Amino acid sequence: MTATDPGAPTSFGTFDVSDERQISERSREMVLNMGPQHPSTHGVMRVVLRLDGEQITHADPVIGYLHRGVEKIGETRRYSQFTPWTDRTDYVAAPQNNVGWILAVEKLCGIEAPERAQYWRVIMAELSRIASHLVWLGTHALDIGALSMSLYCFRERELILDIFEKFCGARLTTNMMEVGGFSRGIPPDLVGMIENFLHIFPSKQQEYSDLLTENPIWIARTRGIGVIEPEVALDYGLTGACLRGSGINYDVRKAQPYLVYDRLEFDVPLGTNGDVYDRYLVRMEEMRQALRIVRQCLDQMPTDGPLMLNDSNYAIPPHDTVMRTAEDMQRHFVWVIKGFSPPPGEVYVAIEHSKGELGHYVVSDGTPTPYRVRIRTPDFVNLQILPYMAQGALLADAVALIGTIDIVLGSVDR
Amino acid sequence: MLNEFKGFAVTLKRLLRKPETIEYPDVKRDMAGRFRGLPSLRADPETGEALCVACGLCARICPTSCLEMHVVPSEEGDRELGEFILRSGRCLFCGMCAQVCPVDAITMSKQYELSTQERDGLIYTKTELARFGEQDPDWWAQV
Repeated sequence: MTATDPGAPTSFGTFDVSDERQISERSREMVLNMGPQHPSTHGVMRVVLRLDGEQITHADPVIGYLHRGVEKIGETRRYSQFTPWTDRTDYVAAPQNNVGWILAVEKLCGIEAPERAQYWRVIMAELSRIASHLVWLGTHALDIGALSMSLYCFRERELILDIFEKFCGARLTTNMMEVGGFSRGIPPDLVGMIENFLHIFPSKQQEYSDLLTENPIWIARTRGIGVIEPEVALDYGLTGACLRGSGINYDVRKAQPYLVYDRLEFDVPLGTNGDVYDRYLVRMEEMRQALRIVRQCLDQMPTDGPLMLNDSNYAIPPHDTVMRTAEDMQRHFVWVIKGFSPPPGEVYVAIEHSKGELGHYVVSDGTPTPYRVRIRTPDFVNLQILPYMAQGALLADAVALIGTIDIVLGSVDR
Repeated sequence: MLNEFKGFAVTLKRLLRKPETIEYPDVKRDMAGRFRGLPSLRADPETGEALCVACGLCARICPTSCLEMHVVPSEEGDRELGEFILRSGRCLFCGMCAQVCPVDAITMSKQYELSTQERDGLIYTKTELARFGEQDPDWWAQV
């Protein structure tokens, strides 16, 4: 074997051609590399498949192609500077990453954003949950063969991205949360845009349902495929729809409520069989529940009140007084140049991300940069179930199995 | 059998509606007021003078250190902006530079078509950035 041999063992992919097992006198296992540029791996991931005919005997995901060292970057930046980097872990659901990071920093500092800002954080996180599920639904259906679904899903996602753009100026890498709340006001017609979305979306979602839920081809491709038993799901540490699809009721928003989730009414949808179809139903229902949450937030939210915490240690001073009062100007310059220093300590804050439990573990040594940042991304943990699900599945189902986990490689590799 | 036609009904309904897409680049979409394009330098709308006071906060807050600011002594014995370089290949378009600018001299302009043939084209100098941003209103005040 030479170094250029495509089957040459690498440090993390341990398969070579000699691994192929003799099945009978006339046939042997085939090793097939799926990816890293395969469109259905949703990014740059390689899956090494061992095949006995059309059956997968072993699947080994090889990750790391999108590793950028985000955690290490977090240890070299000041707390407020790291927020734009969190956008780039799970880039289809950036506001939720922002929420996770900001909540961790706020807990470390022992501060809490004003109530109105908390409601807006929930609204943005839930809209982003819908946007993320729409990307998942579109690409998952596309992988299985329903091409038009991806176009429909991306059409509705545009409405959400327009809301994000209106709110913060960016559509994908939003960087919309700040320690202490929001230092910028809410655009006056933003609520109208959200109302419009809440009005339009249920009928559109019914369209997706009409196309897929009872479609015999969709059912044939998804029901009974990739079954994860509840105890296996627990053993692998799955979270999110992968866990709830197997019927286990665990949602961080209910188990350890953060922001204002304890004041909101919503159901946690559960599956029964733990197959690809159940996870599809769970995510569809999660989108409906997210709409309910946004609706309640708009109704319950205080109409005025501060959006930003008035805190001289950790929050950025109001923009319009920086050049007017000497005190704010001093605070502003210190905040920007030196940053703020949370007291020494460590926190772990978990939130319910659209893909599962997103945890930020931050250690402070009392300096303006974190001593350690660790991001527990749901995608990385959920991906580990792939070899289990793929065992004995057909090659044609491999794309359905990858799609059903709902991974984003930026988040897996970080 | 009915379920197959349910799907077709959705497809046929779409057939008669107008397209959702636009013919980019012939047609360009309107950007929101807070849109974050290339960070640029604003000028005073009345006098046309650059607003920057060379405090350096933008370069300090930049998460990727893509802004480079050179300060020179001014004729009045004060300090003023010498050269201002933006390495846009590293820029995250996070808007923090425009947020922390105390005099709103940096704006997130509406420039987003930034591809070039060579790497040097991604580096913008003060003159270029001033050209992009001179007409821009105060970005932070946008709704």
